[in-house]
Amino acid sequence: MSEAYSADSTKDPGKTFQPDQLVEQAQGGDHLAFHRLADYYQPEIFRMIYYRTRSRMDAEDLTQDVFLRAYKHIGRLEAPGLFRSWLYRIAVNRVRDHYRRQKIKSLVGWVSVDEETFQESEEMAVAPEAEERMDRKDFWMRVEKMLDCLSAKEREAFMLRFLDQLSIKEMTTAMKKSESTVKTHLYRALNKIKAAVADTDALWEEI
Amino acid sequence: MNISDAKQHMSSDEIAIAMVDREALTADRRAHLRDCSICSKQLAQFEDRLLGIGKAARKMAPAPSRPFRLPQTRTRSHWQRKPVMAMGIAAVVLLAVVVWQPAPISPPGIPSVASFDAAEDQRLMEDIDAIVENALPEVYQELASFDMPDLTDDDIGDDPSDWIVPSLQEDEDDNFLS
Repeated sequence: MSEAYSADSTKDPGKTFQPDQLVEQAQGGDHLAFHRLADYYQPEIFRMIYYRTRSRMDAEDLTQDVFLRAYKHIGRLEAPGLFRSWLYRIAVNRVRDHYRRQKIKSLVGWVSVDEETFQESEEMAVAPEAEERMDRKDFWMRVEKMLDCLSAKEREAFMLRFLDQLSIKEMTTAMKKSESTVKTHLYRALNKIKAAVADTDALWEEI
Repeated sequence: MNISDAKQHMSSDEIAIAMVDREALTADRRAHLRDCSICSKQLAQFEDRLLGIGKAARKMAPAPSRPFRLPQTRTRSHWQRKPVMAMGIAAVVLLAVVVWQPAPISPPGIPSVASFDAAEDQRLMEDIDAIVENALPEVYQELASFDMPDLTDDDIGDDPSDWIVPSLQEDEDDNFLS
């Protein structure tokens, strides 16, 4: 993973990073300001997409697309303070579109290989250690098993809250739902997960 | 733990509600959560487990391989130059047309085979016209050239005997109508 781009270093508290100001500058067409924003938020948006696609290649492409769209439409963002959650909203929509396209492709027959096999082979190409690769695969299988009982909206709410660690307020922007709707989805998700894993503490330990 | 304690402990639903929004609990239940070590521990454990998934997920995800950079766009000056270039090209073309004054476009010559066909057609049409004008063979032409009575009157039928004895047809028709 030595080639991986690590922009998390830009989150150094020593550096003065003022997202609101950068958003305003980017809205004025300042490419440099937008690049600084992208450097700061790219890793978490990439992870967010990876959690949902489990494919590094797709996550790379979709992340680039998210930031390109963000730049094109940044003028529409009225509150610079909402930039992060607005990015998540774009990403949520892009992932949804991605799944839709995949579904159409599979119906038409363009996707001939088993997606899981493909993703696994893709992971093999990037993961340096076999052990790490297996750990990763096991982990995501367990998470998938846990999330299996949730509806699409409950799943999205749960992932945004606990995997992406967004606040409820940020989730309202990311999901484009009211606060009470977001809370309802999250509450239902938690209830189902609690019930599903109540008898299997081992699952928690494994995770 | 007696029954009354058990009743007071938070249910699974309440734990989930507390996870989402503690303010959504009633004041009594919030007070219980604050005071009850069992319930607060249960809630903390559930929260830790879920947040732990997030932390683990972060470790289990790769990092992006390249930073995002906006695609290179053409410079504005290039776009500003474009109309000027177009105008220049138009001026050169106009000048060339004016100076050169190309000959008016004449129709291309008729190929020999086509001209032969055209002459044939012309002759055929002339023959047809002649036949239409003089439908009778030549031997009858002279007979046909005698002065004929004017037959243009609509009241007279084709039968020459009608000139002498009018047909009863009209009377019959009249009778029929009456």
